[in-house]
This record gives sequence, structure tokens and C-alpha cells, in this order.
Amino acid sequence: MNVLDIRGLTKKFGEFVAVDNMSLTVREGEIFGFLGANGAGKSTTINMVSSLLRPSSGEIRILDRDITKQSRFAKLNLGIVPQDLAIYEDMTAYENVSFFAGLYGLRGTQLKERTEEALEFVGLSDKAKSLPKNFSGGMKRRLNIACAIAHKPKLIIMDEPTVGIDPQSRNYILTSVRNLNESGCTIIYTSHYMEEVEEICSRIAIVDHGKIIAEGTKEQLKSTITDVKDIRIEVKSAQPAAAGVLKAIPGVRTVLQEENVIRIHSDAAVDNLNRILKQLMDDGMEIRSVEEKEPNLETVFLTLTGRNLRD
Amino acid sequence: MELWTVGNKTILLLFVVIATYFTAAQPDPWIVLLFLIYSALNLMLHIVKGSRLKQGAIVLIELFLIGCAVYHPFFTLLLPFGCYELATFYPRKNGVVLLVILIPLIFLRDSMMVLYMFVAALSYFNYVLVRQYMGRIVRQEDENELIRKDMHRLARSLNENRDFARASEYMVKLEERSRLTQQIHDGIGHAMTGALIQMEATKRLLHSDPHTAESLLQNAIGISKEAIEEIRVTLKNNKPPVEQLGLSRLKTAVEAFSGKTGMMTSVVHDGNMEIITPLQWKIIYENVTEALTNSAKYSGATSAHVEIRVLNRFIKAVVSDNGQGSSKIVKGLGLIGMEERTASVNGTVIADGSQGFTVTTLIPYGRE
Amino acid sequence: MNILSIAFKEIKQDFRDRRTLIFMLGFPIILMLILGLALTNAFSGDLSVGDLKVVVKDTTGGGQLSEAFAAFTKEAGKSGITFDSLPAGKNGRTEVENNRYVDYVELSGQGISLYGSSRSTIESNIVQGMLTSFADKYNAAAAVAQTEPAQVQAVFAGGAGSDYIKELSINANRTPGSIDYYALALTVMVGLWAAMPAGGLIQREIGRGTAVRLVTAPVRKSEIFAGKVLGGIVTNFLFVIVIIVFSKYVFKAYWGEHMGIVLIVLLSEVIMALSLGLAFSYLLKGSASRGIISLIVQLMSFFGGAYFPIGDEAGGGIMGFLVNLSPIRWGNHGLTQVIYGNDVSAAWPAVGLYIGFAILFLGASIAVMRRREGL
Repeated sequence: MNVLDIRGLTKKFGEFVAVDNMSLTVREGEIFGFLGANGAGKSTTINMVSSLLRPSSGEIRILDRDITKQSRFAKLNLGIVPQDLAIYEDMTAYENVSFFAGLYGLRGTQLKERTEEALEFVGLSDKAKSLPKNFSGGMKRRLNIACAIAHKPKLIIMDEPTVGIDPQSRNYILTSVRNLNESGCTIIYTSHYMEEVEEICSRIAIVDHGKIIAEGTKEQLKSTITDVKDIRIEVKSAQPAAAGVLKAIPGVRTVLQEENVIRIHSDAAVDNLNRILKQLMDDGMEIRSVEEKEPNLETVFLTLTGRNLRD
Repeated sequence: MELWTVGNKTILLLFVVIATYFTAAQPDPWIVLLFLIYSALNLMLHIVKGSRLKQGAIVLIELFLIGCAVYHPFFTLLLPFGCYELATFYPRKNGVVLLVILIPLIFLRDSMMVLYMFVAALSYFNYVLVRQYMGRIVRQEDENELIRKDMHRLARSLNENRDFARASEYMVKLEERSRLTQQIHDGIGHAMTGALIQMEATKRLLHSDPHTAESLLQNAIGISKEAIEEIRVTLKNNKPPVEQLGLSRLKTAVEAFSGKTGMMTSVVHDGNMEIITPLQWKIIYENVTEALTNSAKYSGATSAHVEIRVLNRFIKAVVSDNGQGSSKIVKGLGLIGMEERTASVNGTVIADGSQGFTVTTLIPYGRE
Repeated sequence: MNILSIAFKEIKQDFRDRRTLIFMLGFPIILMLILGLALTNAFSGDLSVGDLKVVVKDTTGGGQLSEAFAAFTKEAGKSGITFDSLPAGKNGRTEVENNRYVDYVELSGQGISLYGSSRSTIESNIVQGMLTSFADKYNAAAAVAQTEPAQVQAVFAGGAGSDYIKELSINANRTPGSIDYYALALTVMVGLWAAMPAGGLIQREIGRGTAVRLVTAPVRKSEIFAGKVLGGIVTNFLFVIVIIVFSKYVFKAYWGEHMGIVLIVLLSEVIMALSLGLAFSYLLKGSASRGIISLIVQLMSFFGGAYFPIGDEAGGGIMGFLVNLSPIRWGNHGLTQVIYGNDVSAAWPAVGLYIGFAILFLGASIAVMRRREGL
């Protein structure tokens, strides 16, 4: 089932087109990455999905139902973790989560249980009675997530949830995203941190100037620019016969040998570095250095748009 | 501007008239006289021509008002307008005006002071606002004039260019024609003439010496065969390959653009050009020329760079210039046209104005 | 249900905001104390009823009304109100205009007409109150006279003069002292101050980013709006009540006999102020609106006489116009009559004005809100 379906979505601010005839499908169980520079139209798209902005044209469906015609259904199944913190600093962590969950129709003991569950999930149970004023940046971000998940939405949208926090909190958040996904949530994750998206997302769309310019798994995206990886291995005492043996390894296309440096072109899709190294060592060659040049999402973005993600 | 001021003045004057004349217990004929004189002076202001005279009239009105103010304090309320009118002759001194109109405050007391402050502030904002709008109108008129001139110039150069293009196209065609004629004349022409002579001889000898005739005919057949082969070769040599057609056509167009506009241009390509189909070439060609035209028209760039790259799953055509770019892109007809063209082969166009102006055409292609 | 939980959240947050609490409660109470003590002299003496002089013109030429009125004047005279009959050839209204008398009473076949002076509202109110109760009693007597003429005397005899006075509370030594004046004026001012936090009611959610959550939750925009407005009204009305209670029991300020009516007036004022703040924050986007609201509120407080009594001396003209424009003035005026003039009906014009403007402002806010994207 498609959790999110976007067809021909356009948003204009005056004459400026922020989102340009975008179409997109997110399937159940995915962690869908939305990768693009600042101002590429990610947040505008997300704001339209969460009905903060009205589309200029186009259609958005959540769980196969139109979000303007059945907005209550769409909203009940949607959890938003906004880019900027959206919590009340003068209410305790518990009160925050409980208030927002209450808006989703939870009452009484159910409300209490879900609130505690959400706080437990983000590891803030022991801070339930404290005011967020005294929280660290990472803790606030976690509370921000808790407020979005207490009502158990099917689709959670996380808009840059890791901006400006310490590595530890960041890891914590990435782990909780995975846990949420495993518990059955579909997640849309926007970021301009390429590494994060590459690490956790099962499918990725690259957005630029309000358009999706490429979409697919990270392997598919990388293969849009090249399907070859470049491996450079320096050994201590190369044997002349090495090249021939290496060519037999699956994925390897060409092998060039210049004295002690072996350069291999191989299919990027085949994970064969370990076999190559093992082969060389079995042949009694001592390895000094290995360099693998594989395109990452950053280079994909750079090649396709001519600009850096963080311009 | 004048209409605005007159309107405001009238409203304020009515207010002062009501406040002084109608609220007083005893109607005061002197005040009526003063009002009439004030109105007459104002009329004079609008009748006289020349900025000197006008300024003189304003000063006169102001002096008259100060005199009146001694008689009845409400006349001070009319003072600020004169100041503003005077100020219109000296732009860029808004602050001074504000100071000047605040001077009467020293002489006023209590409710009169509050009232004056209110009137002065209100009319000041009014004045500043009107000034701003007037400034905008003047600027826009200037811009209009510039655009009109531009259009004129462009229309003329367009005509000239069209003539030039037509002439050079004709020249190229003539050259090409003469080259082909030469080739046909040199190779096939000679061979056909030889074959014809031999066939004429065969006709004569057909009955007298059939044996010789047969060998001559065989000879003519051989020559004709060779000639046909040569025609094939000539035609093949003259028909350019697709990718050459695409790339060289593009290069020629870019060079012609460079010659026409004086912009520096460069074209680079990378990857296997052979996989680009004629349809894709057509789209790339049209997008590139459109983008270059836009650069020349709007960006003020001095150089433009065209890059065609064949990636693993995408064909990418980029036109970038070193012009001023634009932080927010408003889609014109040109850009929409490019998008529509490119969408027909499932591609996208990205326009970016962050560093110069860049138009990237991405066309996906299927391998295998 | 969502409305209530949003309102409850709003109230909770307001009461946790220490700065607002100090500003909304501490400041007016301290101001009340300082102004009340410092300006005691401005109030004493001036308002003693001994100074009341009323000029009377009797055109009925004797008869029941005239008699009854004579009895009334005698009783009233005991509490220091002098009734002079109009000397021939003089105009009663001019006498009042020239400030020689507080009021001008005309007895005629049609009944009693009263011309009050706008310069001494309070004194005029007192006379008006007395006359009202006199008229009531006279009407009763007239009605009785038609059925049982013998009992007429009993009606008048039973009450005698002191009755009029008791109803007016004049004999209770009740002249509004400075503390009384400021208790009332500053309470009305605090009611109007509801406009200031109201300006941030929606803006604050946007600033904190929580507007995103509210809008994405399955709650209608109208519910959010209603909840926030309700919360704001309750909070600010609680502030008003705290100040009333404090001034009543700590400063011993006089709040009259009709506490219910006073609270209704103040509640309608709070609603109006809140709507005003809300409308401004919608019409003028961004934080500029808050500055403008607080400026307007301060101006209104000033002109409405929150800091020192202004209205009566200003008389007509531009000042008088500005003064009458201030919502504080409406409340002050109405409540003064309710508390000191015992005139409950004086509250309704104020309530009407407040509610009318509240509807206007709320309507404008809702219109803008519906068109706006997000909150």
C-alpha cells in the first residue's frame, strides 16, 4: 500500500515556484529520504503534506485518501517532527506530550499510557516532570520527537531532526528512527546531511529547485552517474601474475598493474573488495594501502546539479 | 502629488474652519476674511509658474499664517503643509522638515500642542508616503523609457542579424553545392562519359564485329559499375554521422551565438555521444540555444559555457554563464518551453541563479 | 473537548509565566497603592455632598407633585443638598452651564426633567439617583392615590426623607476616595490590558513553532482559536478578580452593592480587549503588532483616566472626544454609576459597547484567520 502519494504538486509564492509539479510515492515500511540543499523545496513539500500550506495545484493522498477531502483521517495518521523545536518550554515534558496526544483524541488511562510510552521511547522517562527549559539541545530534540509519536501515526515526517546537536544525541535519534520503522512506521526523513540519509534511508529522492531530479535506492542513485568503482591497491612486492587472477573475481572489469600499484575497475554494485584483498594476500603480497573511490550521494548531487549540497 | 496635497489641505482647512468659526460662541468676521485670504494665496500658489515664484508664494503663505496664528492659534495647524510643499523643492531633507515643523510646538500649550503634534505627525507621514510613491512613479517611467529604447535597438539588430543569417546560409549552400558538383563532375562525370563513348562504339560494331562489340560492352558495364560504386561512396562520405550532426550543429550554433553577441563561449563534451538519439539532440539543441539567448538578454554575462555529458543513466546538458544570476527565479515562457520539451522525454530542467545563471537539462536514458 | 484542553493549557501557561503575573497583578496593585496614597488630596473635600446646589423651577403651580417635592427637598436638605428655586428671568440651563449649580430640575405637568452638568458628573449622578428614587416613590403614591386615596400619606410618611438617602448610600460617608477611584480605574485598566497578551496569543505559537503541531493535529482551526480565546478570557478575568478582591479586602476600596453587575461589565471588557489584541495581531503581521497594541492600550489607559482622573475637566473639544473614545472611560463611567449612583442600568451601555466591539474584532480576526494558511 502507498502511505503517501503525491501527484503533480505545485506551490507558488507569488511568481516564485517553490515546488514544481512534483510527483512522488512512499510505500509502507520505507524510510524515505528527501535530500536537497536548503531552499530546494523539501520543507515546502512537507508543509503541504502536513496541511500547513495549501498546494497551488496537485493532489496529496495519505493511505489512499485525499488529505483535503478527508483531512481528519490524514491528520490522525500523520506525525510531524518539525525542523524547529515545537515544544512548550514552560510545560513539563510529560505535559507537552500529553497535551499534543490529547489533541488526537486520546483520553484517560490510554492517554497516560501512550504518553509514558513515548517518553520511554526517547529515553526521557526520568525527566518527565522537568521543564524543557533546563534540557540540553539533544534532549529537546528527543522531546520534539516524543510529541509526534504518542498517537502512533502510520506516517512520521521528520524534517531535519538532527540539525545542530551533539553526535551522541544524533546517534540516539538515528537509532530511534530505525526502531520506529521496525515497529511499523513509515518514515519520511529530510536532511541535507548526506551521510545520515545514506545510512538510514531505504529510498531516496534528490530534490532541487522544487523538482525531483532522481529517485531510487542509494545504489540506484549512485549508478545514475557511473557504475564503476575505482580501487587502487599498493602492495609491497607485486607478482606479475596478479592481474590475471584478479580478473576472475566477479565484478572486476579491468586490472592495471604498474610496478607495485594495482588499479582495478570494478562494478560498483558488486561488493568484492574483501575477495580481492584476500586473493592478493593468498598470493603472498603484503598490502600497504587501499583506496576505494566510489561515488557517494554528495557526488551524485554534485554531478547532476553542478552544485554542492551545502551551498 | 499636487492633487494629494490639495486634498489634504482642503480637509485640514475645513477642520480648522469648523474648529474656529463654528464652535465659537460669537461668529468672528475677521476669521472669515483671514480664511479667504489664505485660500486666495493658495490659489495664487497654483497659478504662478516657475519654482522661484512658487517658493516665494509658499513663504508668503507661511508668513501670513504665522501672522494669523497670533490672532487665533488654530492657524498654526495649517503651517506644516507649507513646509512640506517647500520641502518638495529640496529632496533628501526629510529630517530637516520634521524639525522645522516641530518649532511651533514651543509656542503652543496644552490641548493645542497635542492637536498640533497630531496634525504635524499625520501630515508628515502623509507627505513621506506620497513622496515615496512619486519617487517610484518617476523611477518606473525612467525604466519604461529604457525598456522602450532597448526594444527598439533589439528589433533593429534582430533585423540585421536575420539578413546576415540568410546571406550566410545562402553562401554555405552555394559552397556546398559547388563542392558536390565538382565531385560529381570529377568522378562520376568522367566515368559516365567513358562508358557512353564505348557504348556508342558498340552500337556501330554490333553487326559488323560482334566479338569486339561484346568486349566493348563488357568494358562499359565495368565502368558503370565503378561509377555506381563511386556514387555510393560519395554519398556516404557526404552524409555526416548522427552524433557529428548533433554535436557539430550545436557547436556551430554556439559559435554563431558568440559571434553575434560578443560573448565568450565554450563547448565541452564528455562520455559516449553516440547514444544520444536525434530526438534528444533536438531537445538539447533547442534548450541550449534558448538558454544562451536568455543569458544574452538578461544576465549581463560576458561568457557562457556549454557542457554535454553522458553519465551512466543520464544525459546532462548544462549552460552556465558568469552573469548576475538571480536568487529567486521567476519562470518565463522560455523556461516553461524548455521544461515542456524536456518532459516529453521524461527529463527535467533545473534553473539555478546562485552563481551566475545555470540551466541544466537532465534526460534519463535506458541502458541495455 | 479539544477547546477545553487548549484553553486549560493556555491558562496553565499564563499562570506559570512569572513576568506576566508580576506585570498584570503586581504592577496595578502597587500603582493603586502609590497613586491612592499620593493623590489623596485631589479627592477629599471636592466631592462632599455639602457642596451640592440644585436650582429648581416649578411650573406645576402647586398640586400633589409640588407638595411631594417640597417634602423631598426638605429631607434632602438635611444631608446638605440645597435646592434653590429659579429666580425669575434666569435660564436654569445657563446657570448650570456657568457652573453655579450642579443640576437644574424642572417640575412640570409631564413630570420631572433634570439637566445635569457634565463638569461634575459624580455630584450630578447623586442628584439623579435621588430623583430617580423620588420619582419611583411618587409614582407608587400616585398609583395608590387612584385606588385608595387615604393611603397616600402613608406611602410618603413611611419612608420619609432618609429613605432616599439610604438608597443612595450617601449617609454611609461614602464619597469615592483616591483608593476607591484607583481601585476601580486600575481594575478597568487591567481588564483592557488583556489586549497585550492577546496580541501574542497566536503569534506566540508561531514563534515557538508549536503552531505547526496544532495545525497538523486533527483539530479544526476554529477549535484552536476558540480554545485560545477562552483560555485568554479566563486568565485575564481571573487577574481582574484577584485585583478586585485584593483592593476590596486589603485596601478596603469600596465596590458597591452590585458585585455581579460590576463583574459582568468587567468580563465584557476583558472579552473586548482580548478581541482587540487578537484582531491587531492578525491585521498587522509580525511582532510590530505587539508594540502597536501596547501603545494603543497605554494611550487608552491615559485618556481613560487610569493614571489620574481626566474626563470631567476636559469638557468638550478634541480632548473630550479622545477621552470618550477610550474603552476604559466607558467602563469607568458605567461602573462609577453602578457603584456610587446605585444605577444598575448604567452598566448596560458599557456592556453593549464592549460586546459590540468584541464581535467586530473577533469577526475581523476570524475572517483573516480563515484566509491565512497555517495558523
